[in-house]
Amino acid sequence: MTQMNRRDLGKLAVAAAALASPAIRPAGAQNVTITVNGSGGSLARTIERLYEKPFTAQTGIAIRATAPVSVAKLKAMVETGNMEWDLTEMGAADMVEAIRNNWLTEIDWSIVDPETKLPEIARQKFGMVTSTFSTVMAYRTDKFRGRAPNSWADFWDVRTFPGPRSLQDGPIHNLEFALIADGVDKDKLYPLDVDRAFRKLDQIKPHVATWWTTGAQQVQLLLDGEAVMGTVWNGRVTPLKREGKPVELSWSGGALQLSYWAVPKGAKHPREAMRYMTTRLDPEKGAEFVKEAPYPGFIPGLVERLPPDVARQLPIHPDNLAAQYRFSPDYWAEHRAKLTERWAAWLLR
Amino acid sequence: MTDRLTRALLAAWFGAVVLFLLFPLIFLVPLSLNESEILSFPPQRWSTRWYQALFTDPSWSGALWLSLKVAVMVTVVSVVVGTAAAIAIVRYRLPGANYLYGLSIAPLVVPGIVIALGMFMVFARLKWLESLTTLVFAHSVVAVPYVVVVVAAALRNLDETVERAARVLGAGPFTTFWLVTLPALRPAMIAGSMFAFFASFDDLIITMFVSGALETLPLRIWNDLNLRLDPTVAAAACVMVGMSVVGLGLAEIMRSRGLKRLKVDAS
Amino acid sequence: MTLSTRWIAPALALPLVLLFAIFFVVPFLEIMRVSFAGAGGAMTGISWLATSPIFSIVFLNTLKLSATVTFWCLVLGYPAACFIAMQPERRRGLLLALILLPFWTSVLVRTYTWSLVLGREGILNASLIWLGITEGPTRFMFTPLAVHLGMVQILLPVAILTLVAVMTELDPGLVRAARVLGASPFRAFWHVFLPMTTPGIVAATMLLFILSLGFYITPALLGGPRHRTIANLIDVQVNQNNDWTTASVMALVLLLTTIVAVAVLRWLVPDRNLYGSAR
Repeated sequence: MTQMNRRDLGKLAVAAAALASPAIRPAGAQNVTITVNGSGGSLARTIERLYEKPFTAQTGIAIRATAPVSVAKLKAMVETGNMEWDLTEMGAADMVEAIRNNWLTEIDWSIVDPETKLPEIARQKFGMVTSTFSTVMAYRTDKFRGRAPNSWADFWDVRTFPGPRSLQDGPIHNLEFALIADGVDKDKLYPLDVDRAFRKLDQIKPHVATWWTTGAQQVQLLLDGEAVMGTVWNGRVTPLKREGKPVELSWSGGALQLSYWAVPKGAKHPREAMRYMTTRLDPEKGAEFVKEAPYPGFIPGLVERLPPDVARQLPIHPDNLAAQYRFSPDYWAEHRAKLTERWAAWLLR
Repeated sequence: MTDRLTRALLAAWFGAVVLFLLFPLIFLVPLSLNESEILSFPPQRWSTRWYQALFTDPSWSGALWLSLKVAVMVTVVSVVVGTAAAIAIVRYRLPGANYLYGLSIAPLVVPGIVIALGMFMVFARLKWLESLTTLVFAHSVVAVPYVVVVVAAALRNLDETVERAARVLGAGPFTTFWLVTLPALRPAMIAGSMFAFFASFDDLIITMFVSGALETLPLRIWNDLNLRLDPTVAAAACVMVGMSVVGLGLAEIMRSRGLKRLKVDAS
Repeated sequence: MTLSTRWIAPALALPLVLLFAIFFVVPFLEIMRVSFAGAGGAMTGISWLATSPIFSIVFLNTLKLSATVTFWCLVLGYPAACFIAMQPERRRGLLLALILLPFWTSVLVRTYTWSLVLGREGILNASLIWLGITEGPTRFMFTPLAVHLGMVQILLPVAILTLVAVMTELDPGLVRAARVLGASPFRAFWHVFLPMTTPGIVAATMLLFILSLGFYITPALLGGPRHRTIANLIDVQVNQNNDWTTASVMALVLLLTTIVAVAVLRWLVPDRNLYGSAR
């Protein structure tokens, strides 16, 4: 088993270098098609080119890609006993839900990562971390006359940094940011002191012009001047900076989040799916992928392969890692429903 | 005099309404020609790269084509099914006509996500997912209500006298329908078909659950959303608007040519 | 009616009944079954509704929003529909297609263009400041105004099309007759034209109200969390909390509300032929 995998990985590296897929199938190929569910969109083509085609050429296992990621669909498939997916992307909070409801299959790490290349944080019982992203503070560089906000305390400081703010509509992250602004040690956040967080949020509420819901909005608000400071996903700021827009982000107190691959319960081809999961360990391809979307996985050798200015923009760069706090999906899985209601009521007041 | 004034006022009102409805389209063109990958206005630099992407990227062109195909089929199905039902409800002493009417509009009332979930679970078991037919009929369910409401309203207003006269003169029900009712219902059926078309073209939630790996345009846009909202969306809209304007223009030209020919023949 | 025609009505209704039975009723029953099958079933959902601090507020807000949007669409759309109905037939289709052009655009782009107009650095504010009417940018985005503008823009064509479909059948001779007989333009309109368009108004009101109840993307993008709607709550329950029970209970509440609303409409406009069955 291990020997075959070593040969596979070797072949993978060759395929990666070529970035092309020969049309011939190796002898003895199975006629299996696995269904991989993901976010789709424009990244899907990159994924197809980098990962799917080489994998199929090399193993004979075809891949059928579907989109979008939907926990409701997962639940529906489990309810009807008809699991369409063999592998699916999943966010951290949804992972905890899925695990709690027994919707996932355990990962057989001897197939996926027999040489234990991935760090502990990426090798979890029911999922593999495929990418990381962060919710951080972003601000307009041209509105503060040279000064740059650098912490959540600064975000709350309307005197030094006047202007409307924007925050995500939801308690997740905002409660943590409020606590950090109030002086709580970022490594000692959980369990959250919810009342303290809401009291702190009361201070900033009148200054929040908008509460965003979509990824498109968060950046638009800063560009349009609706807000001079707001929370964004790190990957959204990179293209802005590339085009010279006056927006910058601060990693301080940011929320590091993990995104996974999981094998649903009742998947028809779990072992083949896990073989496909191996492809994500390749640092060459990872580096290639990160150029399109700055959401890297914990692949050893990845950060080294990138030019330093690119690496510095990643959530997992050591400097950035040190500044952020570790988001706890477990806490939120347990309290999300209640806190979301409290949040909605708080906002409606 | 007052008639003239009334007409002028109405025309002005209509003009204002058109401006209000169409102003987003004015922005579409510069938005789509912006070189920046961020949706922004006004464009700093111009580029047609998004149009190129639209036509060379098979996921976009495929999504567009699929949406159009499905919408056309849905329109045909909905107009036929909806008109027939509207006639049954309004014209004939069908027992429980009110309940039928209620059923016809129910899909608009029940939240899309609830219907979509239900459809997904039922069709998953039947293995009907990811088929064009299923998608068409699923969309039709939310398109038919529009046809029923509009055609029923028009039918209600239609004076039955002419139809009765035709029947008295010996025309069977089909002939009466074809020669008397249908032409009178044309505006309503056209309005209903326009609604049905866009109900299908713009549908997202049902498609998300029922289409499997098939990707329609709204779904394609939605799937990109977490990563970006770039001008490709605006370019796609421009292409569609442009095509329909061209189509309308052609229809108009053909119509006036046809009329001219009639006039020539008559003289 | 003769025997041979008795099968016509059921035959006409059959396609719809079949289509809806398979593609709507069965799925609806299925999701209801699954939602209420769990522990406690419907009772847990109903108790959530009763104890939730936000449900009643959001529900009332949604009703208010739908009512006002419906009102404005009717008021703005009626004269426009009159205008179109007065046009020669071939131009009518053109005009209708014209006002439907924005439907080719995804709702996200349309909402974005509203922010270009209503934003702090948007066109409206720029004009007001340039004209000297205001000093600094006024908040237009994320206000009830923005939500109404966004929703009316999307629903107005629905009102216009529905009204036109009914108006085109009217015999203009009747209005002319009234004028000839000495009625002022206003009386001719109020007592002859308007009553004849009642089925259209009723149909449009129903469509507009029902559709408004189901909106959530536009209110969320243009109004923010203060203008949350029921449909948004349902979406959250399904996609975030995986709580189908509460979602289904809310869906049933919506269904009930619509039935009540339509019943009220029938009571207000008691024309027996409005909804069906021939005389």
